[in-house]
Amino acid sequence: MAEKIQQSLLFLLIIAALIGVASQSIAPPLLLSLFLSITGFLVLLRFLGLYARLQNKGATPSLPQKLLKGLNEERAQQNRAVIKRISEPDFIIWSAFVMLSLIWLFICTLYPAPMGAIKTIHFEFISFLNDFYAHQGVQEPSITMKLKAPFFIALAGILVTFLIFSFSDSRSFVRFSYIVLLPLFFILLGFTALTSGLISFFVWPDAQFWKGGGVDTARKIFLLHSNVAFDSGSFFLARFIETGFIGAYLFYLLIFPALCVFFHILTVRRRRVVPAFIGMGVTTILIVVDLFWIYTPFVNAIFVSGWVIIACSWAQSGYKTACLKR
Amino acid sequence: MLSIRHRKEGFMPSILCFCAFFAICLGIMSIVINTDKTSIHQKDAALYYIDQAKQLSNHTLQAKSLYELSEQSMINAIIVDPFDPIRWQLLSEILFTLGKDQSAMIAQKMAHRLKPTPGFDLSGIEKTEPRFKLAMTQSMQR
Repeated sequence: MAEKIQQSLLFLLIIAALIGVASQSIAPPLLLSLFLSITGFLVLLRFLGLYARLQNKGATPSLPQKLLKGLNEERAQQNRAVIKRISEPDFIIWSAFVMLSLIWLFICTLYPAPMGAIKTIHFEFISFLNDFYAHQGVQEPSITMKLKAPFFIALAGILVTFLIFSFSDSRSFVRFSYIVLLPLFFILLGFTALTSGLISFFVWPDAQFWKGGGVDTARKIFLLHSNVAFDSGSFFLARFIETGFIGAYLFYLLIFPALCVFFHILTVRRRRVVPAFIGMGVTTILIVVDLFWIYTPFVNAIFVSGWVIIACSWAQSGYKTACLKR
Repeated sequence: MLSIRHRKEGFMPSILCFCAFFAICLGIMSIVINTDKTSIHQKDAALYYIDQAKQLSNHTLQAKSLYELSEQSMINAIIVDPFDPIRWQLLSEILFTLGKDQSAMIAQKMAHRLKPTPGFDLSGIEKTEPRFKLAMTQSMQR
């Protein structure tokens, strides 16, 4: 029962995050902090639930207690499987990649590369941009303010993915997430395709611009130079401007562990093929959106819903136990 | 309470548990400390862009873009919480630094964007913020 409540809370949290990113209201520190606190609280609750059932020590004098112990033992085995799943290398490597991406973003923000170093995009007023950033005596938003949102988002992302992993042993949870989020994902995809559409010119990242201009640079450039935004302003380009050549491709490492599991399932193990297929399909769509879609707040919502679907599929595909909970 | 240290499953549960605890502390601390700073930060950003735009009066396109940036910073801050009076005070300060046309345009945009907000009454703001009221009147006359 408690587990079901936690699952419902997690879904509410995901839906709130979806609405937040689509309406651009998740960025204010207050909402983001609230989101982080609730996620942390849910994770602690989940750990309490997982570890409470693992301890079946002590004497068992009577028959009813022995029977109860048998029931508890089954639950304990399920919980052990969940703990084992989050301790497998794919999840650990993924978490390490998230931290690595975050550290890279921090480096780019603390020691930004000059915008004039971008050779791929020929800005009309590149000298103006250089002046704009090099101007002395102006108060740019502090580094702490700039880095707060990405740090909170990364931390909340790891915790939410853990929660999805910990519930994915239940087939009903994964099925429910597909029923709710897959249609939402396609509706958002269709809506974005109709309202903003595809880019008309693809910009290949310039390897010389290996380090980016830091957080918030892409937004300013897209606002100042709207031609770039409407012509080739994809999520990929925004990432390239903010985190440079390395950061633009580093992002793809985040889906690498999930893709490895999907390939393994589809080619070697051939068990739980449907989640692997769904995960693979959504990953492909997300890569296309990342490269060729014009960046809007709805693209963020597509990424959030897509990631939840991928995480559900990835987590369930990776279980080594023969049968999962209903 | 949690006997994580004694389990054989590795260090990941311990790290996640620590992350969760850290997230709760960080989130609560951030709510307590930084609630009021959002709007002030947005005001700083908006004033900074206006300052830059004024220096670039010859380059009309660039100045226009900078004014757009300043508007966006402030409008975003208010749309997130239109009921916060501090944000409106800050907007008035910004309108004060702008010219007639520019402030009238911002006021008009503000009124347009806030129309669908349930329970929000712009006339109340006009009473408390005379600078905003003036900008609104100017926008009506345009």
